[in-house]
Amino acid sequence: MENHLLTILIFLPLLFAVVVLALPERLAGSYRWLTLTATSIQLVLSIWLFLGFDGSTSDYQYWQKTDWITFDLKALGTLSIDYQIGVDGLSILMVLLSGIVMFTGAISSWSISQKRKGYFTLYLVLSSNIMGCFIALDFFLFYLFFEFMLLPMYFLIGLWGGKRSAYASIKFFLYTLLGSLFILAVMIGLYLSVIDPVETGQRLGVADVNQVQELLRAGQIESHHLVRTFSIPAMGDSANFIPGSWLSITEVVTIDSSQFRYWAFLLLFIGFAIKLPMVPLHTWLPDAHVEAPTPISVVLAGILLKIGGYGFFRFCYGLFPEGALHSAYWIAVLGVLAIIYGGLNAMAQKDLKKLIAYSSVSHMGFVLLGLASLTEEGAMGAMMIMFSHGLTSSASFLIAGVIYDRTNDRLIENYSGLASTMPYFTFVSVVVFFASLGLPGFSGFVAELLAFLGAFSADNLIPTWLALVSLLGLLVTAAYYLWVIQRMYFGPHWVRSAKQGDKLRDLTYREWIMFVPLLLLIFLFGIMPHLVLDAINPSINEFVRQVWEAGLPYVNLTPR
Amino acid sequence: MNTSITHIAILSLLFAPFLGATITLLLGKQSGTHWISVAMVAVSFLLACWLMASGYELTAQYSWLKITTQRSLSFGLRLDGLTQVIALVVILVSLLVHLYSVAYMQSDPGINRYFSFLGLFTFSMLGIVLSQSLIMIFFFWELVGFSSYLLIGFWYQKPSASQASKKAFIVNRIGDIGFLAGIAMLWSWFGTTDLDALQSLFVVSESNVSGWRINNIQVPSLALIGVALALFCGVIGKSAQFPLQVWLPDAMEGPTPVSALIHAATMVAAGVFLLARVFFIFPSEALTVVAYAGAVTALIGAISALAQTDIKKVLAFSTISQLGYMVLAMGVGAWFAALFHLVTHAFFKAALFLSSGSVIHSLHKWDDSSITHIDAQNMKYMGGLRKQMPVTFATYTIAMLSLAGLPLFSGFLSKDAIIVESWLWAIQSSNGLSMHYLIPFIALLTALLTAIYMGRQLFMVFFGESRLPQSASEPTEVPGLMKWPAALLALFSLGIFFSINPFDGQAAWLTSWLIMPEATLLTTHIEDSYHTHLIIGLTTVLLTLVGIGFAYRQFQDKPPGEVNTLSTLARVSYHQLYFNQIYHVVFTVPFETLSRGMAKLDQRVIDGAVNAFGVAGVVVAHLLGWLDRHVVDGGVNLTAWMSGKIGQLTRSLQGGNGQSYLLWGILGVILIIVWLFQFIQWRITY
Repeated sequence: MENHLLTILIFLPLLFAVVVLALPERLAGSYRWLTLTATSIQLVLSIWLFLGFDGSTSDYQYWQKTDWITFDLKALGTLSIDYQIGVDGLSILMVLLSGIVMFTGAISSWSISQKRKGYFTLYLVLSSNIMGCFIALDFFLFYLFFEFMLLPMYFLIGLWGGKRSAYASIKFFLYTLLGSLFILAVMIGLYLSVIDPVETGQRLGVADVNQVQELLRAGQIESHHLVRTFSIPAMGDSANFIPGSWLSITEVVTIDSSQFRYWAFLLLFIGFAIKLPMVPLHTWLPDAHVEAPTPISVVLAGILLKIGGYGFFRFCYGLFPEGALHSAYWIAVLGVLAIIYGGLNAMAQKDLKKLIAYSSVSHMGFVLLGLASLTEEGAMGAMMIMFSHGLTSSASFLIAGVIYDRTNDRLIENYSGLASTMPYFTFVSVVVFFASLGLPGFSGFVAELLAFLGAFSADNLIPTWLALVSLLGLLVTAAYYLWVIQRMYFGPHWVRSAKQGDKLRDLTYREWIMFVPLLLLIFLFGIMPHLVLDAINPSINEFVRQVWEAGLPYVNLTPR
Repeated sequence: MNTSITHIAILSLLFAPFLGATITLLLGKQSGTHWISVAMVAVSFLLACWLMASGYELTAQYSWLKITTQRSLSFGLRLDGLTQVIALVVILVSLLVHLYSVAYMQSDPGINRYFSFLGLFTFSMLGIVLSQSLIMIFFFWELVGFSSYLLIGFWYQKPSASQASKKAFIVNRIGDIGFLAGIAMLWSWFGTTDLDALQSLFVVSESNVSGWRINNIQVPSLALIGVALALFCGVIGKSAQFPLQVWLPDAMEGPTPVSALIHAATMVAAGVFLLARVFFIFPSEALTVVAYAGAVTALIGAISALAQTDIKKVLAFSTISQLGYMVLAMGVGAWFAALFHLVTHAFFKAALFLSSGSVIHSLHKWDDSSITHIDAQNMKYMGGLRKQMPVTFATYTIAMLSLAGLPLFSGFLSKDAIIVESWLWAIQSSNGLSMHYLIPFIALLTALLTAIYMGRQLFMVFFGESRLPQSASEPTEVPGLMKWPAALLALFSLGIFFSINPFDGQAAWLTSWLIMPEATLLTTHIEDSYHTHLIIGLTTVLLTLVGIGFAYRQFQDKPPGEVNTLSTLARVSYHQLYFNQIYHVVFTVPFETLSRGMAKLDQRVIDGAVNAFGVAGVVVAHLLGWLDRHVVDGGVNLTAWMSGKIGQLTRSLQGGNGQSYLLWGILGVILIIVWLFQFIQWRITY
């Protein structure tokens, strides 16, 4: 059971999706219950997984590996795709977050009334693939999940979305597809360069992995004996690269644009930066958010964006450490740009949902900044921002949904003084917005604080002036959130039409059920961040150590 | 006495108001629950008294968040003379304000919300005072700002209140950015923000040509000055110093007891308290900047107070001015005098605000019963209130004389100490340059202005005849629950509570509690002199008397002038030296324009490029399609075949078989790319 926990986590929703497909249309009322059941089980399992996670090591846990596809390509060696899954400190929080967000999204989907079979099937498929993305330890497997996540999302936005949903969904689709093509190219390059030392050893009859790597370095393994692999752990070890292959790093030379590894890093970076999204590759996000139905916005902001950040950790930084060190300065610049540019844009928005969408762009800038610092503080901060933003942005989109459900209108200027008629809703909104702007006591503060501490501590990668500029983000964030609170919630009560005003009742029970757990978690992790961060501490430390150790010989930098 | 009991006592003292606030908030609309809040603050007060009486000291650290095996973000508690005194002042004023508010807010429907916000504030403020690490101070620092935001905007229906609350929070955030930068720099050098740890590093620091050597790290002079000034930014924001003083007058939109507690006695003094705690980090150069910032603030606050018509605005500007004194004192190295003034100011200013609250409350009641409506905060409608409100009048007068700085009152002791020390500092550090004499000169000038504006308010509000419109009723004295807390605060404004010698602040018993930490970065040490004391003391008293006399001549039984009749100088004062207007043009408008410009850039340029790319793709596709149909012979067949295939694909997509197609598609693309790679590699190899 323990060993198959991750597999169950991935495939259980698929099973439910099959059931939803099989059930006749007259039982349509049961779809949402099935979806809720599936996501609840997923939530319970992910919490169980997290509680059972050993926070004292950086190793993969719940690890499982089975041969999946093996082709003997004769002279080209052997193609090996494994079903390899597992979690470590870089993914465990994201798995937990997926459980929370997908569950919240399922409750939020309660009011979906059109084409319910399609909707809930796709939702379950999406849920399964998101988990798969974070758990897969084989690049090919990851890529499959990554692509299959795209498809349900495309339909969910396109078919259940607003007026311009066709435009938004195709934009989302094409953008992400472009990114995934970049990722694909690098994946194949890696495949051609990396061997699985264990399986190759089996072919050669050599049991010792070190000896196999020694032979490989000496070029003494014949081509048809090589077992090429997509295994991420294998890719993480530079000794597994075939000398002279595309992405090998056997020669000690400073990285520059004449090397394929440089371009591979760049392609991967762009691929995941689209997903994050990073300025200037972000314009799909506001459109997608505005057109998507509320639960899909929640999933999109709460968890899909984090796959971009997770990709940086696992792939860009994990597999190309010298590229990460080499580009740290520019990544930090892009991060700061995103923080401030996203914030300024958020301030100018007239649509509440668009404002929150741009605030996501701004917050994801902190992920870039924290990562670029390549310090323990920064990396931990980047991870915490993803986790915390998953909670706060979900809540923010639910807030936009509460308003939209009642009036079909999200324009900020059409509301004033909501506090008078919806005091509880106002309370929730103020807490969520302040949590998003990084008020101490809520999870966002710890996250941003760590990112800033990282940025200031990384003075051989990030200049102090840049760290100082990034602090302006605090001001811009406060400005747009407070302004929206002032305009919509405070002041004399007024809603564009009196008829709408009648409909503005306070939170319903279902809405309370969605908000309360999120608020409690935001508060809990704000006061006691160690509950989540201690578990990932060894992995983060190891991650930073490895990037420096593996990357430093190839860049012109003074060691930290 | 064992430490664990002290420990529990401090934690209870800290969390009791928070508990009260939470309970009051959760019980929501039940009436009478606000008493729980009051009771919890009273518990806190008793604990503070007990701790002070027992004289225990304690330093405790907890790791809040582990970063690496060497570094962790720590929280910690500290109980020493300084924190005991300030904590007691905070809780005492808070308790009295809580009691006062019970009567003041009695008929407000949001009374429970009010008390839970007030409890949250008390908790956060105590958090700052008891903090041992900078991170923890910052944590509570922001929470204090948040509770201040909630309380300023308490009457959220009023657009001016919600505007003021936003302004306060944002202006404070500007300062906090600097504060956080300072903390982050210290963290990046020393890997800790614990104040004890930092101080032990600084104590053994060595000065050399290019800066200081601290803990084997060479810190350049400029960097250290930069860090000190960055920390000072936090002080500028929270303590409403020039140039961020603009939020405090607007903050008067909050209920008056809130102004007394937060925007006069405690929160705004947090900046001065912070300066006291991080004093050891400040090199002399940074302190000089601090001194000038304080002096400028003291002066512009006093000037702005001169022509205000709103009873609370006068006090707000006076607060700014007095905070300027405290910061100035820190800047000249008068650590004790600054904190002494903080304590005396907390009492007399809270008393003044509560008195003004009583006046407003009374006029509101009058307003409710009369036909003509007035602005209950405008001094135009006051006058002669000494007859109707004798207790409030007495309270106000004592507190006002203390603020103006007459001997026998507490304000004289602390203010005199500040002016004397700034004079001595000027002698010491000017080295033949007379510029530094500006500081004591401004301090003296401000003392004169203080007497004028406070005298003006006293005579306008309480003396002369009533200027209220004709009505059947008269304003009445407020209930006991409002009268007596204010009177008690006024009582604490008498000099005798602080020093037996009514002329020497340095002889106050507080000197044995407020002990300046060892600071090695300072080069000047001030020598005391009896003559300076005498001369400065006499001058201050003289100036104060002149000021009050001038106010009597000028403003006795006169309403404040209408804005359009004011002289140019008075108009400048009334408009607060036009800071708001200037900031609006220089910062707010460009900021909003920038944000709109960025949105346009995003929509037109960046997204425009994306869309243009998409359109171009479609156009090219159409072009190719056209070529295919019309130019390439046999292309027609191909198109037909293609569309047939696509049709099949879509059909199978609908049949739920799409995933296998996608899988095959991906495999196909992979094979092509593999082949390309191999081909290129082959070409390179051979």
